[in-house]
Amino acid sequence: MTAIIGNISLIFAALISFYQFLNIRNINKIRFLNPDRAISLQFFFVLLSFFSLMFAYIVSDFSILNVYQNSHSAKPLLYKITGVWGNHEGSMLLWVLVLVFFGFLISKFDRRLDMPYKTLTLSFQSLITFIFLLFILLTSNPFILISPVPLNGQDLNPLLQDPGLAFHPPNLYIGYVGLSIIFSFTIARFYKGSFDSAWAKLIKPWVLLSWSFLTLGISLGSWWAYYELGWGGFWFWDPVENASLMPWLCATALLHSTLVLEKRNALKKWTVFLAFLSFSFSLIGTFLVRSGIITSVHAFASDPTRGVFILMICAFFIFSSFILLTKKASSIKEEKLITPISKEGSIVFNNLLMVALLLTIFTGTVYPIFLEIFTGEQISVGPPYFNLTTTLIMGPAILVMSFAPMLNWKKDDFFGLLSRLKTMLFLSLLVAFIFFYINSQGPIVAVVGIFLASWLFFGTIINFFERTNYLKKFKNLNKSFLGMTIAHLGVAIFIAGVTGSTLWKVEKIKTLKVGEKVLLNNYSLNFDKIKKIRGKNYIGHEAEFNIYKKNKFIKTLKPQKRFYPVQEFPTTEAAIYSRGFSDIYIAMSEPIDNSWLFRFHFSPLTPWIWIGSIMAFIGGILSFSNRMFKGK
Amino acid sequence: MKYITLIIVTAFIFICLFFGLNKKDKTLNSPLLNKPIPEINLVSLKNEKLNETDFKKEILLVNFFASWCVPCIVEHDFLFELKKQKPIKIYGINYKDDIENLEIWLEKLGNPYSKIGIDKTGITGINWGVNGIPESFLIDKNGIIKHKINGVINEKQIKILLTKIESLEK
Repeated sequence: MTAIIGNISLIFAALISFYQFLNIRNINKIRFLNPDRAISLQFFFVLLSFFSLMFAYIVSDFSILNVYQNSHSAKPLLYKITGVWGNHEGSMLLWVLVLVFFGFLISKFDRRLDMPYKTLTLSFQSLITFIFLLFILLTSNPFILISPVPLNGQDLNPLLQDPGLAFHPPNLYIGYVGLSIIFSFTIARFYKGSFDSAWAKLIKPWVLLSWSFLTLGISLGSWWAYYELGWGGFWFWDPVENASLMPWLCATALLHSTLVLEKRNALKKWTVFLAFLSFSFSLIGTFLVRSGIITSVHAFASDPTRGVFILMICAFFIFSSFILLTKKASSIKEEKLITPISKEGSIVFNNLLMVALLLTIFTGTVYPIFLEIFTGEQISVGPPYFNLTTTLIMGPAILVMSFAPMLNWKKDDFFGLLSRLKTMLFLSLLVAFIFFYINSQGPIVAVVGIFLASWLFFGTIINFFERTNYLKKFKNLNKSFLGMTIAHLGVAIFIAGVTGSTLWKVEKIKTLKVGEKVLLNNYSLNFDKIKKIRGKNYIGHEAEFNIYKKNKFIKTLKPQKRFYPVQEFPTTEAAIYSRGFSDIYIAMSEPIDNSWLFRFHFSPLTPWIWIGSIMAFIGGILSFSNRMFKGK
Repeated sequence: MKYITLIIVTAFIFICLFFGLNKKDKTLNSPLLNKPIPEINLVSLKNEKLNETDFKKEILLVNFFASWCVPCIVEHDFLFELKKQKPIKIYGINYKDDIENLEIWLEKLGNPYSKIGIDKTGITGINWGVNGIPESFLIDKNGIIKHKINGVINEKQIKILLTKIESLEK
């Protein structure tokens, strides 16, 4: 019954979305199924289908193949619910749910749009929905039944049995798929209106919203990997991580070029191009993750027809948008030239760097695939390539990012700028020197990283004080400006976090018996106890470490090693003590007789990675709400 | 014009991705495939020699493992399973491990290996192009590498191994 409801809802949603796209030319006639109602119905049906699947998971209905393959009756309720999107079919359904949700949001809440333009946008959004629903129905239907009904399920991959799965994918998808609405807005604009600053004002909040959630989703994923995978890092340049970083870079560039279009009515074609590129990379990301073309932690069991289908979807949208751009590019009039020393000049500079980084990462991600096709050789482009190129490209970008908000639009004075940078330079050199003094053994690159972080931090703070006239004008402060300030400060803190975490990390791997201890950067970690634990669907061991600094007790940490019998899969639950300025991290491995193998990390500044990311998210949301609800 | 270039480049990328998707064999192919085994000169756990001559007598499976390697524990049962289905010799190469730990490990989990070479420095691992353990090589009676498995040998891998062994026996 559940399966039937789920399936029929999907078919209805597909039919309505197709109808809405077909009626693109009759947009002015109000019919029985007017655009707002049609989009609401699509949302309703996809939601119904989604809840049907969730219901099947909650009651452990193993007559549905998808539930049988990814659930187990002994699984805790939270993971039964999150398990809905812990597999290919369910996560595609979530994808489409977010897709129609965005259409719904626009139809219901965006009062700034005029009717014909809104209708046209929703029609294009419906086309995307239709194609993805077709994909689900034809290749990835989550409601396929099996008979005879198995007694119990195969359980969910234990790595995914974590609260992280509740938050990471939905947030990431809001960001990823949110870019689809920007795409629809852009395509529709070719047929109604022109690319001017009014258009930039319309799309800006939606770009901000997608960007913010993309930021949040990526950082949640990275945090999850940090404590669940037990490797002690926050970013591994895994192809799937790259797949989410690429749209983020694109969206970041788009966010800033939209600003130029809004304020200066310039960079029209570039903004349109970036809008297309952002959605293209969100599709390519989906392809890379879903087709199984690359092996990674995120890749689910794949079936080649799915890959071909998604590739066709990608090709369809990317080519039609590029061809549209080719044909209509001449109708977009660029009037203004941009001078290098100006706010828009600096934005263009950083835009180019973002796109350069995007292409570098894209190359690194697909190069192994290409090489294998042409030579049959198999290689892996690992962190050495990505770390080097990213640092080289991001360095100059951060330098400029610091003072770009201080510059005037149109034209600024080069020497005037230099004199304003003196204080910043002094303060950042001071901070870099202090860090160097504290930890002089560390690599010199780390000092550069800290310098860049403080350069950006002080630049943003100084600009904030100048613009608010040293907080006298704080009350009538523009919320978008506040949002930008918070986000840029977040980036500064993030960079410091990355620097500390990658370059100053101290790692020890040791086998210990109960009663032994290990010394880690002035801390004594005493291995005092080990006990057996038993969860709802796992068994395992928990170690107890008491941490002392100079004989003063600080905290108890309890890392775990779990084993999930149904999937025959062990997991590591790292224990982390976050002190604001650093993390102490313990991950345990298998026992060998009476000893246990542990991995200890002392990671300075690591918590800042997530503090910074959350600040960027808050900044983005602040700016979004200001534009959406108060702005014109 | 520049848009045309863009479209051509994109089309090229898509064609490549399409072919990438249709790769027949998705397992990692070692450049050592169908070549004689690389240099190996180890001392075994029982203090015997283990070198190339040991590999040229019969079909065998060489399995790189270590007691610190968690997936190897998972794999261990499947090695016994394989031996149950097909009595084949398995040589273990103990990679960068502590001998004491290894002995405890074997005592606890059982020993499916006919011989265990101790690769304390990891040199043999490098010679054999091992990326990460467990990794296993199927070797024919002439000492030629016929198949390589990256990661854990599981049920599916056992099936593949059995068909490969069968074809080698013909």
